[in-house]
Amino acid sequence: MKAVYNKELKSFFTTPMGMIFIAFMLLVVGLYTWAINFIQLMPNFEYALYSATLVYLFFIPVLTMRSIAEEKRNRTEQLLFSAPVTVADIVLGKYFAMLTILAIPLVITAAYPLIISMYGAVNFASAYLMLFAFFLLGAALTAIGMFISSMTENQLIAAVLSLAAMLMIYFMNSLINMVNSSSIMALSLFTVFVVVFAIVVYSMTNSKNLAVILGFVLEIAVVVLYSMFPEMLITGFDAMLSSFALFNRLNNFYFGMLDLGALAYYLSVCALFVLFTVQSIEKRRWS
Amino acid sequence: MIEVKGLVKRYGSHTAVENLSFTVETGQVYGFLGPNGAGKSTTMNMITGCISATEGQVLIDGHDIFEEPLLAKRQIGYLPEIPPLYTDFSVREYLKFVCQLKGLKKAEIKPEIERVLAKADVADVADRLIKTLSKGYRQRVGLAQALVGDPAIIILDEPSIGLDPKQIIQMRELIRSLGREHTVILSSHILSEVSEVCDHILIIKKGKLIGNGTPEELASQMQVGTTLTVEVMGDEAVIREALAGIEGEIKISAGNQGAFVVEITTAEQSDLRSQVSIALSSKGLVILSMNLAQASLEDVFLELTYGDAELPAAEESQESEEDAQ
Repeated sequence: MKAVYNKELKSFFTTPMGMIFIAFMLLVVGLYTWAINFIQLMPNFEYALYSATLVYLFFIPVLTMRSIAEEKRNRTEQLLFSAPVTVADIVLGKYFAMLTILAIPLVITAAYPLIISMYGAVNFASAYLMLFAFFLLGAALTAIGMFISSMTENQLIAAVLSLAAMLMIYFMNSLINMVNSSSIMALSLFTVFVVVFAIVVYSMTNSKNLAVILGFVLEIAVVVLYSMFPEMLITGFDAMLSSFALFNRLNNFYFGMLDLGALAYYLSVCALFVLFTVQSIEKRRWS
Repeated sequence: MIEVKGLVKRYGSHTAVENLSFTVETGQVYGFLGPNGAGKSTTMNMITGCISATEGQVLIDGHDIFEEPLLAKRQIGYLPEIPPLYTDFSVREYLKFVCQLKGLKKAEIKPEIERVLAKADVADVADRLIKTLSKGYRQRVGLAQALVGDPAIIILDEPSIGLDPKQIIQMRELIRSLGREHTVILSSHILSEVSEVCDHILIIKKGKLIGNGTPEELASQMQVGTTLTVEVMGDEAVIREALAGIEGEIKISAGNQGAFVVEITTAEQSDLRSQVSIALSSKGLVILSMNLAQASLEDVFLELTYGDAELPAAEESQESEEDAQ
């Protein structure tokens, strides 16, 4: 794991990419700090960070697009696969290298509350908690981006798919509000999920019959549910979509609260998508 | 050292490797011979654990590559068809990464890099970025990578592809010298290369093993025969009648200006020129030209891999083909 980590980190800095990432992150967080803390004169660094989450929409796709896809395209994965290391070692090495690139600018921004404190009263606990949560949000999104990168060997496709995923996650809240109004909307979106699920089943088992039958049974269940308890469909759908709304989990930190549930949630997403990435690579080797 | 048992790789309905079984003994150079798309790279990727097998087993020094990958992979150095290079790195940085990847201790890394640089003859470009190197150098850096950690088994997929003639000769010498201390498996679609460097040849066609032996064994099994080509004026029926007593396979086709081209192929080496000449002229037929050609090892290899011929030793794989159908 350490070998892959060192190599990944080094390749970020042999090209200008690493420096560009760090500079970009510092620029965006710096701009928000300047606007919110120094123009609007608010002593809360967490407000600046909360607004700066927008940076992830562009930062994460570019950071993660090459992680797995490039190894596939250049066939360097064969070196990794024939070496005495596990796929988990490879994935974790890459993941931690990306987290390091993410952490470097955030460590620098840790000085900002100190600077702000020279001009007013700063609640350090809530400022640094927000910084930590902000990092965990980035870590969770990085895991998702890495997983997307493992599904293609084209970096550009990986970047576009990641961007789409980030946008989806970012605007999930508005989506939920939209769905709340009607159960027919919930029904149609559940149907989309059933179709996607059937396609995933088909791609994993190569069995058309199984996918069609499973999809059919699930769809009947959804329709029955819709005709009998439409409100259940809406609440169920609400909960389902909310679990994708990563950005919303920062809300409590914005108000200066310690939300352990959110921290656990971010860590779970990280673990889950690292695991998915390992599985996606293993699946390609075993198919 | 390496035992391959009933190896199968299927991609959907396409079978890339079919029931491959062979054993590789320690301290010899093995050649994997077959046309492009015969399943050589797929087999090598399975032996090195890069991809899984649909069925079958690969044992490296008693360790199953799929069950105990870390123990098995420690014994192997692998140069894939496309050298797995990080082109933004210098040669030295790249080799350092490979050393770390293979779990070498910190103190061993520096001398090991120098050793493989010298062995693969790339010491003069050690500090250059890999992306600035020519194809021949890249291939050798790829080879240096396979030598890191001094593995007992070195597997090279098409090691001389894309090299110029002088580099090919150097590569062959290098492989021969490696064969003294390591077990080497290399793949190639060029017979002369394999027969020159290897102690043992495995011929593979459409994922099946159709020949297995030393170059001498294979040459004798391949039954190098001769072909006599005769250009004759006259009637086709009369020519057939005249040649009725001649042994061998006779093929008659129309030639230029009313002449016929007769091809007589024999399984063993023989010179039928005088016999044929007497037989034809006794019927009053005019011989315009005569040419005796010997089928080379190369021709037989081509016939084996592209035609339908099978070596006698390959009966087993033929049966498995029927099983599969």
